[in-house]
Amino acid sequence: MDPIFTFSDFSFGYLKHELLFHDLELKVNSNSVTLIQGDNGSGKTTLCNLMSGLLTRHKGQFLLENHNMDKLSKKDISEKVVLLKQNILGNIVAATPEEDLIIWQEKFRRKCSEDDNEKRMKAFQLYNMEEFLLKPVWELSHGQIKRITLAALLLNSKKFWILDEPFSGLDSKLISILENTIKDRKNKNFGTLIVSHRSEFHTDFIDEIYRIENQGILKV
Amino acid sequence: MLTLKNISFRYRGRPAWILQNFSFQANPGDIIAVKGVSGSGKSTLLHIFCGVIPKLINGYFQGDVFIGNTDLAELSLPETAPHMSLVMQNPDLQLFFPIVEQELAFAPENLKLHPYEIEKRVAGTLSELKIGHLRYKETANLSYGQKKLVTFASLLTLDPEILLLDEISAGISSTGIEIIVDILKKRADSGKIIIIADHNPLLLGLAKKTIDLDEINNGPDLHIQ
Repeated sequence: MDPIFTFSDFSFGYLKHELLFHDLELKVNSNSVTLIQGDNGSGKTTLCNLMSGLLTRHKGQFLLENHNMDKLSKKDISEKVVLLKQNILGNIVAATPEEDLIIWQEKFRRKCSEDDNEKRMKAFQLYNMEEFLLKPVWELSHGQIKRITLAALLLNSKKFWILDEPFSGLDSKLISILENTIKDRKNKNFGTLIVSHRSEFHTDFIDEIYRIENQGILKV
Repeated sequence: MLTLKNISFRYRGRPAWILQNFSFQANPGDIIAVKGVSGSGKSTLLHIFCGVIPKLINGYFQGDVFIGNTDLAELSLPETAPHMSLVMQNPDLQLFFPIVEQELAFAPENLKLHPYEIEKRVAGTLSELKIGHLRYKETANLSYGQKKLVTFASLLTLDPEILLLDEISAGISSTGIEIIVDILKKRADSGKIIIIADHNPLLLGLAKKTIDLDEINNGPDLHIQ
């Protein structure tokens, strides 16, 4: 299996005298499902932000496929991976769900295909969003906004998914839809990295579990 | 005691009623779970409890909320807060001091408590939640889960009679949730009313009463306008 991310001898900290990661060694496989756990403040979100290129200035080796992360542009990275931020409003760029997904389709891709409309509707249907497609985001509930971001993910199906707390705020029905989507992707050889505190996972689709501890990461 | 009497509410410009003629009563020591699918109105209900609806959020609102014998309509939001306060879903909307300690001291300072009592509440809450190491940290630099813990801590230093918790478990580690569960049990035993909108089974398991919005929304009453 090819790793999509390789960390070796890797260190990172927001402050010089306070390292969050020290000599981290980690390989994340491109086609499997990886779960990352850890206490509050241990660096889970930081790791997601590093992997999606939102944070730089690390020490040591950090590769995306075979390329040094330092040398890649944000655009290069965003063609390979997509991040679902924990703070859901940070994922929304438009005023309505419909507009948000159109922006994903038209702006963030080089080519637009004819079946874009159909793809978008399929994504909305999966998460039962037909009722509020044209509603302004500020009138939607937390869970409804979260569903926009999950639908947008479906338009990025060929990228590696990095999901920071994707299950929080979802009811059990939505959780199982998302779990099934992740399973389907895995069967098509597309991997996902999940940061979550949930312990009651159906572990059948999770390949590797890691726990961030003492500035490093341990396999569980 | 917290009482809702014949509450009806829908947002302006939207035809669907979130609640119609809904009545409910909570007694001291009650832990109440608010359940429902996403978009069913869990946060809306918490906003009605604490008076943000109708005081800040517009819509069609009818009915009365009472804390004990006091009609909530007669209290301003700042007057309501010492009795009943809400931890919102998004912690970024609720933290507004640069340092964690200031955030926690703000409420008891406004209650004009003695500095000794303020320190006792701040230090006590930090140690109860096991986040003493965050005391002098900048709130803006905390992680999402840490921010949630700090907003919960600031509710505890205010120490209202009624605690409203909207998705408090989101982003909190399992150890953190165990700590929160213990705290809520203790608060309920001391006579607080706690209302939880959440999906976490441990937290929902604390509740003796449930408001199931799916059931209410599917009930026959709702379709009669």
